[in-house]
This record gives sequence, structure tokens and C-alpha cells, in this order.
Amino acid sequence: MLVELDVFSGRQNPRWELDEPRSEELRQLHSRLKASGQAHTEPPALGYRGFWYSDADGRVHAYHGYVRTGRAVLADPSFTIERYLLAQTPVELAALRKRIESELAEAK
Amino acid sequence: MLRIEIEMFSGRPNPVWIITDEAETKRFLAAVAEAEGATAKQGAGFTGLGFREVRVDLIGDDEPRQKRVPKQFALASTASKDLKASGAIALRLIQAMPLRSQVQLVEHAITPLTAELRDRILERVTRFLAEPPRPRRPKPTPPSNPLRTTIQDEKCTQCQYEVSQYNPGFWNVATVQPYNNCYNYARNWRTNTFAQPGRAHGAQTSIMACGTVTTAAMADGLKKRCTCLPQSEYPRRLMALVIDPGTDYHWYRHQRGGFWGHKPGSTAARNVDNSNVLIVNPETCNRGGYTDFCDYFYAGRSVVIN
Repeated sequence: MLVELDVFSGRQNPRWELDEPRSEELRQLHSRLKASGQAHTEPPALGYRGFWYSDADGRVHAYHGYVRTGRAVLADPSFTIERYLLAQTPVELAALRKRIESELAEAK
Repeated sequence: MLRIEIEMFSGRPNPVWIITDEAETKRFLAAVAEAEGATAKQGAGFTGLGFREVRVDLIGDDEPRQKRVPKQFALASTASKDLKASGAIALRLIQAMPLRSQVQLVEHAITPLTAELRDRILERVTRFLAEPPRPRRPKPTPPSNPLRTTIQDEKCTQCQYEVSQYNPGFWNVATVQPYNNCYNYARNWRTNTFAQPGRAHGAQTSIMACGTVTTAAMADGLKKRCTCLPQSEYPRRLMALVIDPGTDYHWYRHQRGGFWGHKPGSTAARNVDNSNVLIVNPETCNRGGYTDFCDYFYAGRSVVIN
């Protein structure tokens, strides 16, 4: 499964493939989420804007505890999807990862 | 079915929803038909920043019609003959704005229908109706290119450059938006390659600092501000470079109207900063982690990017 970290403006966003076991773990996490009754948070223009990946219905966007699919907005109050994907970011993005971890800790 | 759009934003999509209920549609159109002089032609009233009008469109070609009700019209428009009656209908419509619309529209991703938004719209429309702005007459446009104006640089008055009409619609479509970044937008050149400073001239950098990105961009032909470009370089842009140290770079372009436009990565082009405030100064606007303001540059017609 292709994952994109939406964070850059000038450079291309980092993208990487999840192997099958990790893709399955992500699907499992995703399947546990319930529909959200609240309006989701909009990402800022510049900075961390969430993760993109795909499910059976198309592209999925996870940002600050909300997971938007082609059909619904799901609540992820513990940021499980974002934290899982953050843990999978390539090693060369360690500094960026640390910064986003802090941002998620503050946002929670 | 009716499509309702609150014409009020500049950068982000307007609040928009669909009324699918047939009885509700009928009731609404009957109220509009009864209030003579309530409707106006869309876009005929106030066209400045802020709330402008409520747009109503019958979206099927077989909708039951009411006498005197056109298939598309505006309410609460300064062009309405009876603004009071028109405004009252518009306010009722906004009160009933669905907070979780069953009909999901792409606009809802950026402009979700929330109670907070509804209250803000109601407040603005009420204020608008109490003190309606005078509709602006369109300024006479120069015959050469109505979308572009030559201005004198206020920092170095011997230099001139061109500012263009803010036109996010050009960039914010599926065939363009994902493939063009801030450098494309600021240079005003859709390459569809997510252009990188210096890449067209073998001078790209991976070091994200003011000096390195400046050198790369100047290899593409950008000049530091106040190095005046001749008329032969028309159209000439004014761009601003900022850096998230060690991480990324970002560019802005000066637009007609005194503000700055930008396009963060593959997201939509806009003219507001991270606080959703119109950008009038790229040095002081909210730029998130892009803390280093580097410099201003001119980009003439000979600047090639890729």
C-alpha cells in the first residue's frame, strides 16, 4: 500500500510502500474506527497536513484524529492511524517524524 | 433539487449544499415567488471581499417551476429590488443549513458545514443586510491584458513588475493541482512537474537553506529584487522565498490587489496564511515552520523552470 506524508510545499511529499503485513495491520486499525459526529479539523496551509493512503473506496486522509474516506469521516481520537504511519516513516525523515510526534501530542 | 451556495469566500470554497427534499424545494420556491423583487441575477450585486449573495440553482432540467422564479438566481444581493424580503428568505435558508449534509460535495472537505460556520454566516449576512455595501462598478480594464497590471516596485521605485489577477481556479482543478507546487505558482508557470528550483538548469539542491535555494533559483534566471528587469522581460513577477530550515522551501507571488498568493505543495492555491488571514506581507504572515524569510526576487519571461 502506498502511503504519502503530506507535509512539504516545495519538495515532493515523502511516499513509501507498506509491505503486506503492515498494510494488513493498517486495514485492521482502520476497520476499528467509528463514524465521527463532529466536524474534522482542517490542516494548515504550511506544515504537517496528514497522511494519505488507499482503501477499497479510494484515497483516505488521516489528520489530527479524523480519517476521511470517500464515503465518511471516521473518528480516531487516539490518533492510532497517524501514529502507526508515523512509526513507518523512512529513517531519513527522523527529524520530521519527531516534530510531527510532538505536534500530535500537543493536539491530543 | 436545489443547489445553495453562500458566495462569501475568496480562497477556500464557499459553503454549498444540495436540497433534495421535493416538498422543501416546493415550499422554498413558493416563498420566493411570493416575494416580488426578491431575486436578482447572480453576480450582479456587490462583488468585493466578504459576504456577497446567496446563490440558488435548480439543478435538474425537469424541476417543477414557479412563475417569476428563474432557474438560477441570487438572494440577499444588493442587486435585489427588495433586499429586505430577499434577505429574510436567505436568512431562513441559512438557518436550515444542514450540519451534516447527506449529499457529500467535494467542497465539504475544505469547507465543512458546521454549526459554527452557519452562525458566522448568519452574523455576516445580518450585518450585510443592515448596512449593504454599494455595488462596485467594474474598473475599466486596459485593452492589452485585463488580468495583468504593471506597477512600480515600492521598495525600489526605478523598477517595475507585473501583478496579475488572483485566479486560483486555474490551479485548483484535478488535472493541475496535484502536479504543481509553490514554485510553479509563484513563477506562474504550470509545468505539471512539481518544479524544483535549479532543476531545469542542472542546479537543483537538496540542502534546504536560504543560500542554497537562492542559488538554485537564480540558476533558473531569477534576479534579486531591485535588479530591475527590462520591458523585454514582460511579464515580470515579484516572488518571495521562505525556508523551513533543513526541511523544505516555500514561495509566494505578489498579486493584483496588494496581497500575496501561494500554493502549498499539492494543495489548493490560496491567498491566506496558516491563520487563514489574507497575506499582505510574506515577512510577517503566519508561515508555520517556514521561519526563515530569505528574500524577494523578480522572475521575467526568460526564467525557465522544471
